[in-house]
Amino acid sequence: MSNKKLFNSLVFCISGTLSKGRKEVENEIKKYGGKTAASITKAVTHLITTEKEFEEETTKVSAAKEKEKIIVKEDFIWDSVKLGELQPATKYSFDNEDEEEEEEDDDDEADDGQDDLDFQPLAKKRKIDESEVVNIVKFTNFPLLDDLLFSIFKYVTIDELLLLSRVCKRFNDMITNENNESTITFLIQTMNNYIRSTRKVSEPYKFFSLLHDEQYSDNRPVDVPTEGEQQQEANVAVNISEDKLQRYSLNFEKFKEMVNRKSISVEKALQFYPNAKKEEFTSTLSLLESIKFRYAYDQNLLSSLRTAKITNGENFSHSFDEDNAGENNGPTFKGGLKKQLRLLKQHIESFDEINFGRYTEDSMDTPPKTYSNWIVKNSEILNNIKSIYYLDIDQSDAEVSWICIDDITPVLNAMPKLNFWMSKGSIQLALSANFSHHNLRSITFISAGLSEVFLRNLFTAYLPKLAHLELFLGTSNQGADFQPELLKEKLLSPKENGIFPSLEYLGLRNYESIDKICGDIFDSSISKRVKIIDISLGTLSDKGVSKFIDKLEGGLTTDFMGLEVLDMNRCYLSKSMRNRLLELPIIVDTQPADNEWDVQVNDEDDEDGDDMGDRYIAISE
Amino acid sequence: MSETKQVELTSKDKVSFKVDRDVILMSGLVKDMLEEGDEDETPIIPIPNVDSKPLQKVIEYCQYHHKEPAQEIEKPLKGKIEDVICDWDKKFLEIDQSLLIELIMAANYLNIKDLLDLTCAKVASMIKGKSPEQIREMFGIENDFTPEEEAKIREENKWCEEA
Repeated sequence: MSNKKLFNSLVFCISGTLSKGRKEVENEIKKYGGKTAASITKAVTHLITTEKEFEEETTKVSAAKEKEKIIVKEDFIWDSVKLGELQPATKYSFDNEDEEEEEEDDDDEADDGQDDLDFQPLAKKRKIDESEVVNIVKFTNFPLLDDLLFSIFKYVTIDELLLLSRVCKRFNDMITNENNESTITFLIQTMNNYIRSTRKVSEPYKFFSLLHDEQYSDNRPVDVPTEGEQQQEANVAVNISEDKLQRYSLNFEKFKEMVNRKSISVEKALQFYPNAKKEEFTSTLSLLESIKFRYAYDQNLLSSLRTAKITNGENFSHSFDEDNAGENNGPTFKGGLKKQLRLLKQHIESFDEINFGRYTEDSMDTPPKTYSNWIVKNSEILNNIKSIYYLDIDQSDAEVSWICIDDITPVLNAMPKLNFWMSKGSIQLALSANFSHHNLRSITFISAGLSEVFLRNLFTAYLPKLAHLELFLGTSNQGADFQPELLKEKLLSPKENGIFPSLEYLGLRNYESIDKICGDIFDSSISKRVKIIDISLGTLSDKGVSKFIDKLEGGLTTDFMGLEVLDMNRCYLSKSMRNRLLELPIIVDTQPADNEWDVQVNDEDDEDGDDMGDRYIAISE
Repeated sequence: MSETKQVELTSKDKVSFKVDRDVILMSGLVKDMLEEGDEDETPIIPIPNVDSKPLQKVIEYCQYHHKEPAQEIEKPLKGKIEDVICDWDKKFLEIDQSLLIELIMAANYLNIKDLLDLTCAKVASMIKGKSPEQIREMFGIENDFTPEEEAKIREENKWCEEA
């Protein structure tokens, strides 16, 4: 008996000459409920092709592989029709060994005979374990497991969980419908399992390397004392322990309270931004989205993205530094800057991240027009790029304060799907007023001094998904021409003003006046809804800490119940203040600047004076 | 020397298994039932939800693990389950997939947490490296998404999915 719904919801694309005419095959597919498409569109589920086409890797085959479509021989259609049920696709698949090598061979040809192409995406694509796919036995009783699905799902990784949400509506509802209490319970467990599997007491370096890029942090002591050891006797900078990690775990009460605080922030944002839409903040209140962000941010920091590095610095010494053997500091493609960009364009689908490095052989005091023009011109093909490091220039090539970055508004506007932005330099750094970006989740501005105009526009920008804000505020000598009051007025308002409702990490780093704003930070509404406060790399002294430590000691179960980490790396603290901070039940980093473990407090300093004494910020040139 | 106390379990298909009381106390369900009964008798406990084949495997598991407690399995499972369990468990899991599902249900019904964890982790391990289509095929799950719905979900997750 024929099954007229055999190919329901399947969309086939055909490539090559089949045993019957294309029209005839298409009619047969349609007769059994399927659809056909002329090219590999998003909707296509299967590519029907021949051995020859597959071996030659035609455009359609290549596109189908890239988009992870199922590629099968035509017998898949005929056998399914004949037997009246959909046959396992794997039975009709092609041997796809050496797939990546073939792709690269093809790339060489496409590059018009250029034989100097030499690149590899840094992260490999997932390999399918074919041996398991072949022996398919259907779990006819699988629906009976309905109540036990969470017991199975708790063992899958975040990546696999997201795949499962695409399997069927039942799975999707279980994983994503946060109106169900059982889903929330499961997601809390998932978040906690993920945290425990990625952050360990025995790996304090890794713990901090998952907070932010570590290139400017001072080294911390490796030996972390276990509970009960005399911390006072040792030079200890961080208090990571099982107890503190426990605080990192989420529970139902904490989740509900943090959602409540974010909801209030969203309401304020909807009033403040005239064009804001409530649905754009859906992810702000979602636990799954928070898990996704943490996972994606970790992947970004762990360099799991497939990164293309563009730089003309290939011949510079750091590429050949024996101490850095094994590190890939050179460009991904060979050749000059324009050739590298041309090759990147050809292979853009192989990358998730672009690292734009040195762009001139002179000092970087002219705007990087080569990059910004290329990005704007190629906006349409950059939709899959998740992360940008703009002007990753080594200090030996140019100090941060020398780097001219220019107005980044056109660059960001050209990449509306971009999630992670990191840039270096602040000369001519600008952002237009009323800037908005709906997908940016993390922004980091490494600089020796951010300007008032730039900060004002940033603080009024509409960034509904922004979870990580990392500002290297800098020094007035290098362009930080704003008064500390600006931060209080715009970012650190005590009253909820709806700024960045999705924020989880607040980083005010490398700031010469950090002491002056410490009180404002911990009085602010935003500080009560973030998980990480980072005031590292600046001139933090006992005066600054004394403005908030009482509030923290008394408020960690109330106002600061969501706070997990306080990063004060490279600070100027006395031993007694450091010990007091280390006793807090949150993870702190008090690594001193210049390895000076006990800075003497000078009571004669003027409370609000500008005299920094011997204190200086990490990046001041 | 006193004789080891035994319990008689009767499966759904009326097959009886005599098993040491100490062994089957790994089952929370049996333990609760025994606590309610008379200590001196050799109780007969019906297990109406479990067929003889999976019940035999359950007993086999308890006979080994009541003396060798199972190690907790990492969550999430980063690699294959075979990398994190003992050799005995590896051999124990060399079963067809329908029996595996029956075992999950039996472990859940009999309230044997370690066995439930082991079998659930095994299924999770089977998902590794599979596409949604392959997962559907493997478990006989119907794709009830329209192509548009599926594309939308994929688009929503694209930004954070592994390359």
